[in-house]
Amino acid sequence: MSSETNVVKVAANLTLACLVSGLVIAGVYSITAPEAARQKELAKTQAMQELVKEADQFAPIAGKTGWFEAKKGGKVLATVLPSESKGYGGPIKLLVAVTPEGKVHDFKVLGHNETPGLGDNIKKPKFKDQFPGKALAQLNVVKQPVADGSAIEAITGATISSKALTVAVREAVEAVAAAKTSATPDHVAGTQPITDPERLQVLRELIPAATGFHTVVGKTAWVAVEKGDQLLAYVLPAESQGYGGVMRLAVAVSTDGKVLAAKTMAHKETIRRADEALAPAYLQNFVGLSLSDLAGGKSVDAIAGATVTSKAVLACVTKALGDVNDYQSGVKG
Amino acid sequence: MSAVRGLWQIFVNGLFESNPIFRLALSLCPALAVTSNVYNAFGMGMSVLFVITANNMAVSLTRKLINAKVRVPVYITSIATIVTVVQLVLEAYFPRLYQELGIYLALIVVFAIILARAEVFAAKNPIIPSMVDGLGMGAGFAGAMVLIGVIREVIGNGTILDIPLFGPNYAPALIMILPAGGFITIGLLIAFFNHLTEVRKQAREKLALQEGGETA
Amino acid sequence: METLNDNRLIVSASPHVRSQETVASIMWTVVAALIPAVLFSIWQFGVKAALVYAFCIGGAVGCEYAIQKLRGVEVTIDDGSAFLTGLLMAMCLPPGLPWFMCLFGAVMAIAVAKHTMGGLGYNVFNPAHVGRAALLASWPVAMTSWTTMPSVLDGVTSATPLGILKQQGFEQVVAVFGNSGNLLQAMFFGTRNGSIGETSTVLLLLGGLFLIYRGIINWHVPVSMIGTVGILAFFISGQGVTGALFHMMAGGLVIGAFFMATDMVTIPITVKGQVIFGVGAGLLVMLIRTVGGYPEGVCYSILLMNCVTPMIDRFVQPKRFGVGGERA
Repeated sequence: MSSETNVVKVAANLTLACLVSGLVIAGVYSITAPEAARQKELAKTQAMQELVKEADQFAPIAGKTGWFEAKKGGKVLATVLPSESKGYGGPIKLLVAVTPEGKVHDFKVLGHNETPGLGDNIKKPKFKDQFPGKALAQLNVVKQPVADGSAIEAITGATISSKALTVAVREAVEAVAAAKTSATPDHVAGTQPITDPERLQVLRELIPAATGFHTVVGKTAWVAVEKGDQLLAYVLPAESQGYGGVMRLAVAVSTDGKVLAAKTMAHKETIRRADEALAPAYLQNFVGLSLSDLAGGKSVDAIAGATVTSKAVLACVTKALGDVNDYQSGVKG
Repeated sequence: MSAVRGLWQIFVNGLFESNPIFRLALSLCPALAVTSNVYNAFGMGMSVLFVITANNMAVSLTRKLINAKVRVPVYITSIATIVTVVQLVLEAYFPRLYQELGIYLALIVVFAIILARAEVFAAKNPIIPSMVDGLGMGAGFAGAMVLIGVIREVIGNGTILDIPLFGPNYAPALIMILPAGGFITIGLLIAFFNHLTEVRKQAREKLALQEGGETA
Repeated sequence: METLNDNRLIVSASPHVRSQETVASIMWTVVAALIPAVLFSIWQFGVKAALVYAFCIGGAVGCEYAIQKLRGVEVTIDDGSAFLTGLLMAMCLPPGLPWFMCLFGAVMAIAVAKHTMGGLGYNVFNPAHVGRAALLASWPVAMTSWTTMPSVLDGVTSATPLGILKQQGFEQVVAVFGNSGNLLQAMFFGTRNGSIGETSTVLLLLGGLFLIYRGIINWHVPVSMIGTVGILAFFISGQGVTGALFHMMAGGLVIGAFFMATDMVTIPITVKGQVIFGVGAGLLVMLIRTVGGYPEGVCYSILLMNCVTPMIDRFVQPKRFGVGGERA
């Protein structure tokens, strides 16, 4: 036998094997694919049904992938949404149901890699049953037993898993709350909630009373601050020329045109007492000031030895007040 | 009669004498990885039983057509096809099993025992004995998997097929469902089977000695 | 002793046990060296500790008897080796561990760690520590639950010092004991929480020194292991000498270094090898204590070094006379 026929034979062998293989797989796939898709769908609704047992319908929420409204006879019982956080052994994936009042209805662990016997106790009733009915403020993990149910008691020996799970539930509740506030007041129509955690941290420190933060239409870097469904204030950056270069402050201006809070974000001041003029204690003096106050001669005394810096801070605040005034009259007019 | 007996011999061979896990020590990876409960162990065992039988038949059927130079690629193609079919079927009809077996299902393709039976047995034998060999090997594998699964689930989780055995106060020895427990269980079982083989061999020798050459 | 006669010319793995009396006398001497610490622990933790001792020792000796019967070899439970394994394991367990866990640990130690390897003298890992590791993997909650001490001593009844260190930092450890002087004193005399037999540094130290004096163990492994921990702790704990002393006395280090890491079957044969073993184990202890997930790592570090013992032996093999070296 010549080597050529051998090569042809070998090629034919392999081609035929692959052809048969392809045909078989394609044939089986055409039969099983619809069933597999159905099963997936079924598993999803089943998971949701387990979560909100009373519900008879799960309607997907537009614009939010994976979010569903669990309804019974048209009445919304809960919002079901996926959530995830990093546990001890990898991501913990959850499906969380949140009531319209913003409390936890229940959750279901979809997947996790926690240590058997320790971390996987997050699925056990002893831990899990602490969650239903909890509001955002009560979703904190503590290690001591809690009698009044004001917090979540960690699983012995699995603090990391307990914390990770609570964070995932918390984030789901927060997301639902954010989606809700974004849905009602007009000032947030067409805006996005702020999600960057570092930015949120700064904003929360600036205005502790706030419950929600959104972008502002047409104003880059501005943040609309809500308390409940009321618009409370705007936080905006303001810049001016200091002694050593441009400085930037974040200024919170309430809807009635007064300074609510201020924080130094960036500066190039180097002179000796400049730090004092940029410190929270000095900025605190500006709180409550309005444009009319400034026009009427009311102001904040400059720090001796850092006059230029103090004046630059005042300029920032004045500018921010003016910007908000312009914006609000523009929106209203 | 003797034909049936021959087939029975082939079948039993896979169950005990050449048990893939305990005697040949092949496919220990799934024996460790998916035996932490009986359900998964049984599902994996059945999948392998099906793949090895179907592949043995396919190889036996085509053994005269396949060029010896490319037999391994062709065998692997055949195994991969069958495994993919199993995967598709499980995904559609046994979603829980499909999820839990995860990556190990696809890994059946490279289980040494399947290629070994194709090469050693199916490539040289007609279809019926090949099928029986596949069934025997598959049953041996599945039996071993279930045995390991039962031991690990009962001790390590206090359940069998998720049914609690010892009541709520039983604190299971978690080590058994962790990988370490898998190693210990398999090691001890292999030792036990080695011991059994030794005992049977000695008994047979004794018998042969007593009966002389009569039964040879 | 038919079997013995048959095997007379077979050379077994080291160490070559020459006579039965030697094994027994060594084992019972080690037990004797542990007696002060054992008595102290029973005084400290009460009946709960005594029960753990009883079940661990009973389980170990019973398991040894059953397996030797099953294997058809000579029953050697009176040589004290199973007794010692059970005793050492109990000393590494928290007081109040349920009885069935004690028995499970004993079976793991004797049946799995010792007899599957071939029995006395063949085991790769320290059986007592294998038992403890298996228990920790099996019942992590029970193995890290420290019950209060009902003793008359004015001890601190909370989590173990290392547990507090892991969770809340060194300041908290000091705060619990009042000041760092009190802390070190409690660590030294044993008026603190911990595994049953590991608390009293001074009594374990006396036992260890007695064994060194009797020539049953040599000082290389304990000194290199505890020394490594001390030196590392001095530099990385951020507490200087206090941190070094704390880490040297904390957890199961003293009992581990003197009584587990000197188990002649599972450690290198040469002095050089033993020093490598001790330093390696010390490094691992500090690695686990400072970076790892567990507060304490003596058990794992000794087991891990047991793993590489054959390799150490290979590397530091003394050259045979006339072999190797350069020719002039």
